[in-house]
Amino acid sequence: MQNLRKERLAYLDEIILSTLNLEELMPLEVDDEMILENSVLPQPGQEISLTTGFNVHSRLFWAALKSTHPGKFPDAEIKACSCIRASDPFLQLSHLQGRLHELKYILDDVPAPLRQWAIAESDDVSWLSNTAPEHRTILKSQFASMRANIHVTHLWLQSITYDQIDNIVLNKLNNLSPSSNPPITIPRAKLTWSEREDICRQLLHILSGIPAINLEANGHHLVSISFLSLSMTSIFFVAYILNSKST
Amino acid sequence: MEYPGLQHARYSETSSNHDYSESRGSIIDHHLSPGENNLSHSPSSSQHWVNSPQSVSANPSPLSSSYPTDDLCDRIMLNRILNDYMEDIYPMVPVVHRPSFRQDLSRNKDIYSKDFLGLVISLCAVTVGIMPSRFEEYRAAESPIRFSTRTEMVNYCYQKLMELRGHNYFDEINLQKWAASYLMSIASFQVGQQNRARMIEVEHTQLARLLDIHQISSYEGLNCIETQLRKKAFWLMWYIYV
Repeated sequence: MQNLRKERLAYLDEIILSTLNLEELMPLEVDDEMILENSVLPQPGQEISLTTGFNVHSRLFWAALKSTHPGKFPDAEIKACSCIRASDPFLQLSHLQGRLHELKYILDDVPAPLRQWAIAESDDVSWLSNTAPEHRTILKSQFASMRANIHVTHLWLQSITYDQIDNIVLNKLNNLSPSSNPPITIPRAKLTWSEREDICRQLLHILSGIPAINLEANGHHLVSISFLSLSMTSIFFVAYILNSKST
Repeated sequence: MEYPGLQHARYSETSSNHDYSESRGSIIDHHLSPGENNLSHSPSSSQHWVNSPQSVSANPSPLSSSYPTDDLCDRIMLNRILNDYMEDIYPMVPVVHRPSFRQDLSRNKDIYSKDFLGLVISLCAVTVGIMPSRFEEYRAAESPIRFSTRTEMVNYCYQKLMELRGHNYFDEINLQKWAASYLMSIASFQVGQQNRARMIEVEHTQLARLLDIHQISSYEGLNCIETQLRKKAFWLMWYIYV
């Protein structure tokens, strides 16, 4: 998705991608301290490992390309690889809609400290009950950084998927008839506007609810986004208000 | 899919054959085994390390000792930067096994292992590259870092990393070399050196492919630490792929 210009060498290709068992490649959800050379100890008590956050983030990127649960979220990828989809905009659109659907709900079951609406200074520290007091502050900060990483990535992946859907709808489907293809819903640009608006709102919420140091830990992408989104959101709301007033 | 010639030029996944008196062994033992280090090279035995998941050190070694990182910054500052990596960046970029790394650092493994030294340099680069606020703190420290900008420091780290390489650097590969390249690519990108970042990205992409970190079958025989690290490395590469 990101590498649209194809100017970079890809780590994987379609053939390798189709043969990988991604679930097997998921790291064990325990902290490093639990991993010894020849054995792995269980994560203590109710503690949530940092690797759990890492895996949640990884599954987002997984879901952006293919289903993390093929039986639960069937889509075009089962029937066609990207080569076939590239020549059939209906298949590609169906695939993207499947990815978007899974992405939208993939974070519903994440542990509480990684949820978008988690409050950084929450009094609920049950997940830190076994953690030494002097380390709680650090752990809470680390989870805040991961929360920013996870949820901004989540929104970004949805946003660029909408971009691709718009591109297909505007440039490829206008002059085609879907009669010979499986019936799919072809969205109009205006219909995705509310979703994009929701993405903006969620992004603003995330950026305003996480301390700057934890945004910074995610690199200048996020710092840039935070400035850009604040200004863009302001523009959006100004435009929205002006539009409301004129109608 | 095998690239042409790859099977003939199969790379060895063992410890690097440097001039240093590094103990030999598998890739696993080379950089991750807690008991592998050669203490005779330690310039200081007076260090005390806090065994917490987050901290790297609480009582760094004396400045009077000589370390291969002294041209970058003094040891107190080095430990501070690495501590910041552990606290701020590690959750998103987990390229080390914390207990092993902490132990290797406490034993000053960078003195006799070029690969570990390269990893340390790259970790410093990525911390400074990502965290401008931390860099400002390093500048304002009692014994401030000598670089005036993040770009200057990251460039120096890159130069230093390149100088560590011998003519046979790529003859033997391991996950630590992948990590050094991966981190330096990120660091370069973060300070606006996109062209360099992209070229280093090609290098760490190739290293990841040669290490077969995407093939679970290639993990056979690896210990639990190396297995976990390679899986994390795979997903870090996956992010770039998407």
